[in-house]
Amino acid sequence: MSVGQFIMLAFTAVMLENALFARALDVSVLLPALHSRRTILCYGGVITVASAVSGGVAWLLHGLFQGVAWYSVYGQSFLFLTALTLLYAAACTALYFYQNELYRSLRVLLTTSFFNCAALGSMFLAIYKAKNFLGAVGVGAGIGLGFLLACLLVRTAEVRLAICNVPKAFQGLPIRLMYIGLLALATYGLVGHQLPV
Amino acid sequence: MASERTAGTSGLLKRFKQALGENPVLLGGLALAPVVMVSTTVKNAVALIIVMACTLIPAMVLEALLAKYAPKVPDFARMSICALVAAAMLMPAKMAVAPLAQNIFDSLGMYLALTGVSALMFLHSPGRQPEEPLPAAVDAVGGVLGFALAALAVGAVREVFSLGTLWGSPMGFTLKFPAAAMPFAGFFAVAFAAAAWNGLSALTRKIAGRGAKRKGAVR
Repeated sequence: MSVGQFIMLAFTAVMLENALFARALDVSVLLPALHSRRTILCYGGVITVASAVSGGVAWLLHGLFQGVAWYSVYGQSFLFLTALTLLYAAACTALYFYQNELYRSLRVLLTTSFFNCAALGSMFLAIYKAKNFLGAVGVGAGIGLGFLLACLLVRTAEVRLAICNVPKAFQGLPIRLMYIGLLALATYGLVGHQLPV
Repeated sequence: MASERTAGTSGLLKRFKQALGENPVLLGGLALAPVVMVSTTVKNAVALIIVMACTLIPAMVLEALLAKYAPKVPDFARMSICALVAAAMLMPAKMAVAPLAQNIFDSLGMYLALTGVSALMFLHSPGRQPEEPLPAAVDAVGGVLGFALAALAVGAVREVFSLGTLWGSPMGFTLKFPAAAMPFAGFFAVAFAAAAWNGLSALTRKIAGRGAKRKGAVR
């Protein structure tokens, strides 16, 4: 039952409510990640792990502090960002002291993967969508995998956009955002929503 | 001493203008999630700006102070300390945002906290090195103003198109497009704002280049 919920929530997060197209999480990380297929896979992999772990941690924290008034009004954001920071510090400390060479090569990747909207966003989404710990981890993993899928889609378009005659003002970030906006509109319709009138 | 002070002040002013010109949202693609998703009204945009100011300025100044007075602290420890400070500043930021509107937290949702983490992305943006505290503060203020410009422009346009109001006051438009509040419209709005910024920057550089040529010709 829990494994089924894990898969269902992960699938929902990847396909139906894609982190990038439905919630604009990780748009800022998308830009450096698109450098090559290798960077897409590296970023996607680390963000998936970071989001999955942070989703599980958020579930545990929510279970501990749920009844506290301060938590529900002002404290949730503080606690989640603090927990994310401690996870980042733990991962970096372990690498720094035991695998210093690996830490130096992964330093920027680790910082970008933990301090981005997907990792923190997965914490909030996990507690709203999941019914158990495994479901919360599934939501986080789905967000990371959704980001990976979105990167591959946008990368495919970049190759085609590079040979188009894009006006100078729209080159770079503007045309990428327009393409992502079109994909967001397409996925919104594919899922079955209708535009408000 | 007076000339050193003048050189220092003009250097900071130049740095401020540079920070303002290099808009972090429209040129750098930073902090896009909150602007795209919830900058659907001017009130929401102002709330995001308050949170960004409360988290970015202390985090950048603290990072500069740590780099200057505790240079042996590893990068990740410096980043973690700045992140903890940003997390702590989220609470007073929320208190400051609360008076804007009754349902402001409902309309912002989790993106209020995501604005705080977006501020941390400024710290580890590519090519950025820790600086002296005062230039770092100037950069932070410039970054907040750049974010404010993008958020307000996008928020105002989307509010006018989707609700026909500005800061909650009706503008007298009968034709409305509620879809302007959707995420895809946010992407388009930021894309057009970024294109407009690119065009304006190119025009400014062209005018400055012509002025420099004329000065050179006169001499």
